[in-house]
Amino acid sequence: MTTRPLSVPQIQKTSLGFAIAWTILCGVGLHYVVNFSWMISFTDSVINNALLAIACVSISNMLGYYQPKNERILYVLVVTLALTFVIIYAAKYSLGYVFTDFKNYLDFYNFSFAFRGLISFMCLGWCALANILWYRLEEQSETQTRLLTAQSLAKEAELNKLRHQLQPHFLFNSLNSVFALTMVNPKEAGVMITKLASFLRGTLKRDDELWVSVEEEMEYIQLYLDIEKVRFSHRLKIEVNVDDETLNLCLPGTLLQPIVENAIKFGLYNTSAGITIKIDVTVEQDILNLRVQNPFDPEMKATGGTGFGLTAIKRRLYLLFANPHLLQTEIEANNLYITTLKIPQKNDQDYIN
Amino acid sequence: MIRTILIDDEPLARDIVKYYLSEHKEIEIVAECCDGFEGLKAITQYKPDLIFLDIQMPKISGFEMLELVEDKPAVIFTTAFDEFAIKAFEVNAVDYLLKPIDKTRFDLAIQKLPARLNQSENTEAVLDAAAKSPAQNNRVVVKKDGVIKIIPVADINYLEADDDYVKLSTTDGAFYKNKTMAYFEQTLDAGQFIRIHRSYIINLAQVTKIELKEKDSYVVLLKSDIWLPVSKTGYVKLKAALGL
Repeated sequence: MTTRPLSVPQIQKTSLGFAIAWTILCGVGLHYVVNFSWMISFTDSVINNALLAIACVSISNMLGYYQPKNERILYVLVVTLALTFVIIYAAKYSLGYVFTDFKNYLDFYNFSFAFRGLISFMCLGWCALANILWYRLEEQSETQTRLLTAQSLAKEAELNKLRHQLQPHFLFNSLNSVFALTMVNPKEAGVMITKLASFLRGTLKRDDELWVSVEEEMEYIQLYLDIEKVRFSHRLKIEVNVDDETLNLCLPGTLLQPIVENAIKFGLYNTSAGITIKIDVTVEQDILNLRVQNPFDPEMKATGGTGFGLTAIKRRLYLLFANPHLLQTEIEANNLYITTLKIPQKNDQDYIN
Repeated sequence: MIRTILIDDEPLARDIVKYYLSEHKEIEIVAECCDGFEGLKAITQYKPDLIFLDIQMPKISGFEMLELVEDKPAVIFTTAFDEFAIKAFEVNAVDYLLKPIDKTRFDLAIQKLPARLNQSENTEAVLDAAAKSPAQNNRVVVKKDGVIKIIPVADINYLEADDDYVKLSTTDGAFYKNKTMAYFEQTLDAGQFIRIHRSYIINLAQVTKIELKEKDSYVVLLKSDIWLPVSKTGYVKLKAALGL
């Protein structure tokens, strides 16, 4: 919302002072120069200038409500001219009505009529231009603020995305493991570094818009699992079964890794015993099925509060497919938690970059 | 001789600390643990002078484990990435090592150790700060009869001051925690838990009715059929929280 110039206290004060001073000046001028009585001089000045002031205020408000994009000058000119005519005729008839008996004054008024019109027109025109300038500046600063807000929002989103992609906790823990390996088992350390590098490269490449083949995605997931295996060695067992016919099917490259990460987090982080994570990839009626299974501690689930943290993944699925039922979770006996992700296969190759 | 315990869920992370410590003959590793439960047991058993403690671990976090230790040993925290914790360490001058752990930095921590062996006040301050972290403020970890229990805050009916302890009344019974009422008033969600009296904080979801007992003196009835007194200021807070 733009601020009206007349709603600013300082401008209010200045214009009021200016109007009063001008009214007094006109009255005094009429009295001494043209030798009318005080009463006539001041009534003339007050009525004329009050009308002028009303016209100024209305032109300011009018410009606040509406300003044409093109032909702005013409618009202002026409409005100013029309208002000038309205006020000078209004002044003429009201003063003529009040001072019917003062022939001298009425003669003078008719004589000075054109001059008064000119002065009113100049005043109104100046007022209109000042207002246009004011609204222009307001508009500009508003656009500036909006632009800045949009920029900072975009930056924040970008930062969040980067942080999400890099998963600092995972990264630093993995670096720590690599570091340990350089001392304990330098050969293994080399393997781990290349795996970590490939994984990071894959992560940075990933984008919601980009679909990847199951084959490519499973290689990426395997890298991730291998790294986690080094970190947790004996505690983590992994079983991956991928049907041959699914290898050429596609899925968005940002969905499976967070699900596997979740499985590891809730399977592994809540127990110090060994666990098995099972991943099955199958296809059924043109729908790709990815099933991730992890054990969990029912007591821990109750205290986790936020469930299994799949909300973000659900939201992303919804944005991609406008279908909230593609991600399903179930709890089987023996405290197994199963997450199923369904990806409808689009025959239209346009969807596959 | 300084006796120490390493508590970290990743074996390789413990290996580094072990490797670095092999140069410091004055420090002896008496145990290695891979989660907070084991850590707590080992601390009770060995009463070490120093522990190396990871923060994110299975079951309970390093902070939650430490809260349950009565005679706290000196602590050197180790963490991979936790902005919140690192800030708490810095503010309270507690030693911490960032993974991957740098050798020079590690040696410096050991060098400063003698001066820090009695730093439990600082450790307490870190724990208080950690209790406010979003990852931790939805549950309370307590110990009863040697068993560790994790209580989701939603399960707490009310809290009552009891000497040096605070009694947490839940549907599963009462638990004691060695903290102050002010501590719980600050860490629990102010929209859910209201301090209605010097000695009581209640879970808003538990309120069934409020009654006037005498002039200016109110009592509140909880779902568990317990009447609790409400102080004058407590009544104002309770009314505001219930939107009356």
